Amino acid sequence: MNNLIDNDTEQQLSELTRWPDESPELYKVALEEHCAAQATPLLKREFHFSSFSGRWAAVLVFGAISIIVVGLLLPSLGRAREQAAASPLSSAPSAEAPYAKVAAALEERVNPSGVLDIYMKPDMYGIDDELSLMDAYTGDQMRAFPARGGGGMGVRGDRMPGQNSMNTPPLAERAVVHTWTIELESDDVRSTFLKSLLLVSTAHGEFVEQSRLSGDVPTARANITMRISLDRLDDVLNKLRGLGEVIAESSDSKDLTNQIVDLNARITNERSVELELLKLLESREDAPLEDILSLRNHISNARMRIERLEAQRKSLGKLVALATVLVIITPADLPDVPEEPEQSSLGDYFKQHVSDAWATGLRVLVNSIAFLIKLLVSGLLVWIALIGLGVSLRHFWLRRVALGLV
Amino acid sequence: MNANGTTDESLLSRFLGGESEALGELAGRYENQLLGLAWGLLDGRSDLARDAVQETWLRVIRYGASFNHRSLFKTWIYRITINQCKNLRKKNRQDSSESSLNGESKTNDEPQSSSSKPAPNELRQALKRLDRRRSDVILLCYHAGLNHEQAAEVLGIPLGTLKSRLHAALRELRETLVPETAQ
Repeated sequence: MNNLIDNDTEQQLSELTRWPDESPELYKVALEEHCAAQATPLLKREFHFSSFSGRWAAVLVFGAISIIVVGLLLPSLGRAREQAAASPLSSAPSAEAPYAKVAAALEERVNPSGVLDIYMKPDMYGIDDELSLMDAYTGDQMRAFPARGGGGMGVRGDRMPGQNSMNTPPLAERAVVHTWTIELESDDVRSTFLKSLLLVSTAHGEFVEQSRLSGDVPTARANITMRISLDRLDDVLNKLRGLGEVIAESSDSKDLTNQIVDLNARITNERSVELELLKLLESREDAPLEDILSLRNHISNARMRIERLEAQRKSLGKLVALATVLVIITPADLPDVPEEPEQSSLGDYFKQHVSDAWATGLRVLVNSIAFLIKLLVSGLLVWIALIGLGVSLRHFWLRRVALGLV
Repeated sequence: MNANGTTDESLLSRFLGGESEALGELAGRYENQLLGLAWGLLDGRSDLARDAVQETWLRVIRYGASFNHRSLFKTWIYRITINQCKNLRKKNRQDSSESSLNGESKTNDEPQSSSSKPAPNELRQALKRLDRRRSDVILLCYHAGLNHEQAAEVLGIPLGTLKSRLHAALRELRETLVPETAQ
């Protein structure tokens, strides 16, 4: 085998690891020992505290690290998801249809009042300049949006709400009913009330739907519901804001497009029915009188339905053409009304606090459960990875134990 | 694989499936070889060799399910035995050192057998003077049950490394033996 040592030495080396005896069948002893250990109740088995505690300490440390890692990861992941969800503009569009995507994104960003919430950068959609972006929202679609009370910016960053009006209908002829509520505080409620009424221009078809002034001078209050033409809406709102201190302002929009489309379809249908009946009447002049009368009756009914539907459409058209502005005027300094001290017994007091404590406890419990569910569900991938890691580590550990390395 | 065509791995699977006879068959194939190797690695202490092999079987029984079939059963069980021998050596280091100081009659506990031919004490002593890793390589390479590839796998080292270690170990052994024989 080797020229370093002679054959005798090689033979002797081989003899050093040759068991000269019969096999003592140690596997049987091992098997019996194993069976005895299996049969011994767990509590009676030899307990090595050091190895047990070390192993469990490792498991506990691993678990704690996992929870901390997941706990640290999850909020940031959650925030990232929320940001991603809140920003549909962040995904880059394909080159084929940038305009359609811009339009879709614009529609998504239009809040119920019909005003864009954010300023869009043109390069988000791979469009060369801002003009192209505006062109993507073309023609009639780019009519002025109505003014809005709150902050925020229009499509163009240099346009503030209230200064510029951009009418809603995006992409289709939209019929939207706009409602504004503006709450003013004024030193002279009566005077502000009268000045507000004067803002309504009957020449433009505007009118006051409802008005009410109540109370004496120190506590007077006034409400006005006025219908204002969309073209003059910004102007009227600005003037109203100048009449007093604006306490609150809100807007609401309701899209009636579907109703109008439905009405149009029904009108078209009724008209074709009417036309067919008229043709039938003309072609059957020699028919019996009873049939002719019946046919005329049907024609009359169809005409009635058409007129009713047209009236509805007209009414909706008026509703859309004029915005509703609700003005609430309150005095600047309301006299302080002393609050009545609550009269409660000790029992009520106790009951109230027990109820509060119970409600708080339940809330904490629900929050805790919700947090655990959130931790479990949103960190599912992380948990799966950790379980995989744990299983791999266990296999590795068992192999080392089996080999006697641990 | 044995002459009857049953592989060690299938025997282990059968044993894990509940056939204890399969373990007996595995023991028939390996117990003597393992005892011999353990006896050699444990400086001829047959009591320790028995302990090591018994513990090896116990681990096969307990952790056989964790055997992942990435290596041969043979190399796996040899690795267990070698690790058990190392553990026992660590445990008995104190005793071994005392024994070596007091004389070798305690350490060399030859099995009682009429057929046994005692290994020369000089050679064992020479091996003991070598570095443990080197003496282990020599014993493993000259062990009848393993070829060099298997020995390399058992030790977890490349074959080339094993050969170079063996060469160095034999050279050192020869240097150790020559003065003794000269004396």
